[in-house]
Amino acid sequence: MKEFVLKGEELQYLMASVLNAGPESRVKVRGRGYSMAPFIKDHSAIMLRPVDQKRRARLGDIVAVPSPKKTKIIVHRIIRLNNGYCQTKGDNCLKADEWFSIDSIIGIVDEIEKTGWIPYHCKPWQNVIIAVASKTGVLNRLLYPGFVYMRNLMGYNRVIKK
Amino acid sequence: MEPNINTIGLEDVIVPSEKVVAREIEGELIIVPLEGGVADFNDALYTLNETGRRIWDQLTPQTSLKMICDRLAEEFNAPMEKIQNEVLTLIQKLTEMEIVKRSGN
Repeated sequence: MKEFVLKGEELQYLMASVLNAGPESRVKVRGRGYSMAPFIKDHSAIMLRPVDQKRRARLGDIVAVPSPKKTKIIVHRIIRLNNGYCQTKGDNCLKADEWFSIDSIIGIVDEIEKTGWIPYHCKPWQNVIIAVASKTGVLNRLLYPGFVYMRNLMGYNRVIKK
Repeated sequence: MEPNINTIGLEDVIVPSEKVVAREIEGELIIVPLEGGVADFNDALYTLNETGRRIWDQLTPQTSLKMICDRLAEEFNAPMEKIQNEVLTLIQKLTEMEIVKRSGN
């Protein structure tokens, strides 16, 4: 038996297979890059949950989707939703990504590893505010200190030890 | 000395564990271990060699390891003792890794 490294479409297929195994299934992956900082920092581990009838993708959710060329997986925030299609954007990116069908979402970010596993469960109205903030660039890193203050105020730094 | 109940024997019926997701990708069987329902993609994913794959494909609740060995010995035209050793070694290792389990457990 040997170890195996997967990339691109194969990795997407396998992650989707694991998440489709059941509503309790989770996939742990490590993100690269700064597009979602400070929510997801470079090399932070994230936990993905499946998209299903019980938990559909909503505005403001951070989701994992295949890149347009399917060569990698992008973890960005949904900033627009319309008729089964959505558009994502990295909080620190200047431009939004292309529109895509919500069926192509691999998973929704459920927890983010920082000093422990932090649940990422926002109420719909909080999600809308965050989506608007991302869309308008308010979540840009220049405003990071203010954001950290607000985050602590809203209690998002609750840590679950596992 | 009492026999070790964890030791796999030829009469045992072994099936894939519910703690793994196995999918075929480009002809290779990829096995993803799940721990508490979580698949850690930063951790190891596994694949089996050709013989391992033939064994895996026959792990059903209706098939004992002896039946699998009989089929493999015929298919590969190899000595039964060698086949049995290889099958038991692989299954023992996969059982320890919780990739397979005894049927009914």
